[in-house]
Parts: sequence; structure tokens; C-alpha cells
Amino acid sequence: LSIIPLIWFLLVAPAKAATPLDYTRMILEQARAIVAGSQTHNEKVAALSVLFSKYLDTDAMAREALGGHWSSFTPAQQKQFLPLFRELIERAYVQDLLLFQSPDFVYMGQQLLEGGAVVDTQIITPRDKFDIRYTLISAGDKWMVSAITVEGVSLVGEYGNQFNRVLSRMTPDDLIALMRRKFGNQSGETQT
Amino acid sequence: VTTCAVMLKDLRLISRDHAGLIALLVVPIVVITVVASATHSANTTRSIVLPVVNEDQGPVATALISALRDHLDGRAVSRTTAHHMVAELNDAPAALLLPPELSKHYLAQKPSTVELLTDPAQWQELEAIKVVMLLADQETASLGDPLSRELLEVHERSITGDHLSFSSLEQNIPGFSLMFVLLTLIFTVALALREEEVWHTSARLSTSPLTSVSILGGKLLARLIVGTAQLLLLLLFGHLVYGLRLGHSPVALIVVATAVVAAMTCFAAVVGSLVRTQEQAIPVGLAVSFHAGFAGWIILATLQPAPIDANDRSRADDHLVDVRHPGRDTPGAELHRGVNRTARARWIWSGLFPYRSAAVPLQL
Repeated sequence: LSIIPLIWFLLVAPAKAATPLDYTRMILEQARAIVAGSQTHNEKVAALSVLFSKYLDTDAMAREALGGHWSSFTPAQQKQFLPLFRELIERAYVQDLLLFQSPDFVYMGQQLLEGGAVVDTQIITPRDKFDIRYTLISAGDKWMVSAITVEGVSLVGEYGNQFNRVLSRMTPDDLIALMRRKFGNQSGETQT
Repeated sequence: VTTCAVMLKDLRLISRDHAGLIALLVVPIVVITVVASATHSANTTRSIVLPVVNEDQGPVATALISALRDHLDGRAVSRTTAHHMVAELNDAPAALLLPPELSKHYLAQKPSTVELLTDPAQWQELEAIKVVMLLADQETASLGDPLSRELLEVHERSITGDHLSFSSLEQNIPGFSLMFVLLTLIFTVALALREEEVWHTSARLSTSPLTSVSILGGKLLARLIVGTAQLLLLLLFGHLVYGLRLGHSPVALIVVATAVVAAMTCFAAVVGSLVRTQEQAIPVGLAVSFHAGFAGWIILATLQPAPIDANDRSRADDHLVDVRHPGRDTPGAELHRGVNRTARARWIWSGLFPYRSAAVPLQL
């Protein structure tokens, strides 16, 4: 029975989030509770992956990361690439978040843009602070993150640079195969 | 009946050689004890100390130290203390320096360089540390970074010498060379002294105008020359065939080799004086060698080379580390497998302990 309020919160509360800042705060506070909780590491990873799958627009990130290469991918390759990139981003972001034993988020403010918004946050540690900026786009009654910038460096941009390097010497199929191998997933099915 | 009579006669002869009978048991007991003690202590990496200088104090460094502590005795210390522990106290085979801003760079997907200050003389423990780091890095690359971009790069720097590592050949060739020279000297000196008695030539020599010092000195000098030549030729063989580094001065090498063999020759003379029969020469020689080797190992374990040069700076191919997945189950299991592989290698290596250690006390 104790899980019912949480389910209600996850399903219903997002609809109530009016601003990008509020929505971001709600997601990150849920993430903080998971990270600081008593679950095992694997359980935390699974819970955070589920949470962020509703918050990160990984398809938009994938298209931005590939840039001009996106159009050179066939529809079939695009279809294979998107879930792999989603797995990559979720894994990287979740694992990075779990480096903080008990992340303390500070919400600096929001900037409303045409069709979207930018939310500035910080993770505060006893000795340091880490600036994280989320670029959000409106998606109905909720917001989705289309870009994450850590300490002034865009994660999508960094992955884009790596994709550029790989695709300069490999084909899209090779890149997809490489990502599958790295995830230990020969079938191409992603783990969620 | 005749056979039994001969057998009884030989048994009576054997029973009169009390020292030989004792050696029948003492030698195997010594070998078993030394091998057991050597192999028993080399089966874990948790006893390996790794000082960590945490100048980052961020979440990445914290997670990294936590991951390393699962497999090593990681200790957070200052830079000065870390250098002291590795280069002077010989408490640790290496120290890890985590620079400021490591966490910020890592989280922003920017590569950082961490420094591994090493003492190559403690190469076994050093290899175990590298295995832990390498496996952790592979795991990180495969999950967190699909394109294997290394966010943490290790620069390895020896602070006790001008080489980052010593190959097993560079240790085995001089070690086995010394071992064979030592055993050859002990056997030949002991046998030569006893054979003089058996052949009754010692009695004849005693009637000559030669003093006993001259007689013994001549015998030992002959062995010294042969032993020195043997050692130099074996080292030359290692140099020509396996690229063993012998330094830059042939004269110094000859002087050192002569001094080493001179010490061995005198030691062989002492051992030869303990041997009463030809039959005792081999078991007593082996037993003494093993004891001396064990004593030498203890000395080397506590008195390692002093720092020589801290200027060499080279890159190593090993990288870090389990910072993204400090508590994950699968990488931990893989790390343990890797550590176990190292432990098995060390187990095999330790099986050679008595043979290596027999030569150790005479390595200058």
C-alpha cells in the first residue's frame, strides 16, 4: 500500500507541474530520494532509468548528436540507433548521478524560450558545486529535456563529437554494431 | 641370504652416518616449510597498500577510492606522505594522485590525467594494482562510454628508478645465474675438500712445505675464477639472447661479479667445513642455500632500494577505473576474476620461491 502514493505521484503529479522549473524540481527531487535511499545499486539504476525515461527526450538528443549524419542513416538504421542512444544517455546520466552519495540540488532559475525553456541547477557537495543546465521543450502537459549541459559542456555535443570521429572512419552500421557490442547486446534489443 | 647380508651391511654403514640420516629428513622439511610459507602469503590483493592523494575531494574521486578499497588497502594521504610511503618506507608499490577538478572534468566528459607514482621493485604488487585498474576501466568504457573514450588517463612515473618496470626475465636470469653459481661452488668446494681425504691426497699435501692457508686459498681461488667466469658468461648469455640490461660499465660489472662470487666462495668454504662425507655435500649444501635464501628474502623484503631518480616520466597503457559503477555486482565479480588471475600467477611464481631465494642473499 505504501507504494500507491508514489505511483500516484509519478503518474498524476507531473500533470500538475506548471513551469519547467517546477517540473524539473519534481523529477530531480524524486531522483534525489532514490539515490539517497536504501536500495541496492542495481535497484537504484533501474528506478532512475524509469524515472528519467519520462524526462529525457533521447530521440531529440540522438538527432542532435548525429547532426548531419542523421539524414545519411536509413530509416532502419535510425530505428536501431534511437534505442541504443537512449540506453547510452540514460546509463551515463544515471551512473553520473549515482556518483553523488546524496545529491543536494539547488534550482537557480528558469528562462522561458520560444517553444521551450532553460533551467539552471546546481548539485552541491560539501566542497564543491556542479552547474547543470537542462534545455527543455514542451510536450503537452509536461516538459522533456532535449539537452544537458554539465559545467558548460553539452553532453549531447560531446557525444556528437565522438560520433563524428567514429563515422569518419566507419559506416552507420558499424557504429550501431559497436554500440551493441559495448552494451553486450548482440540482438540490438535495449535494456530498460 | 647373501642379498640380505649385503643389505644388512649397507644398513649398518648408513646408520653410522648420523648427519646423513638427519639430512634425509631435515632437507625435505626445510623445503616444504619454505615453499608452504611462500605460497601461503601470496594469495590476496587486499593486503596491498595503495596510498591515494585526493586533491579533488569530489564525487568521482570518492567513488574511485571506494571502488579501489574493495580490492586494495586504499589509504587517503597527503602528497608528501604518499611519496614517503612508496619511495622511502617501501610500504606501498604505488601511489595514486587524483588531481583537483577531476570530478568536474569527468562529469563534463572531459579527459583527466591521474598520476601513478610507482616503485617498480615491488612489481608483483604493482601488477596486481594495474589489473584492478585495467579491468575497472574496461568495464567503465563498455557501459558508460560506448565509444571507449577514456576519461581518466593514467600517467605512470617511477619514483625509485629510471625504469617503469622490470621484466620477469630481468629478475630471473640474474637470479638463476647466481643460484647455479652458488650451488656449483658449494658442491665443488665441499666435494673437493672431502675427496682430498678420500683419495688421501690431503695427507700427502700436509707433508709438503705448503701451509694450510696456501692449500685452501689455492683451491678457493680456482673456484673463484671459475665461478666468476661462469656468472659473467651466464649474464652475457642473458644479455645477448634476452636483452638483459647489464649497465654501462663492463669493469664495474666484472668487479661486482667477482665480489659476489668471492662472497659465495667463502660461504661455500664454510659450508664445506660442515660436511663430513661426500654424501652430505648435496643435501647440506641445498639446506644451507635454502636457509640463506630465506634469510635473504626477509632482508630484501624490509630493505628495498633507496630512491634513485624521480625525473623519468612516461605514459602507461593502463587506465582507470570503476568510478561510474562503484557498487555494481557484475563489474565486481569481473574484478575478482581478474584479481584471481593475478593471484594464480603469483601462486605459480611463488612455487619458484626457494630457487629464487637461494640466490637472493648474494644479489648486491
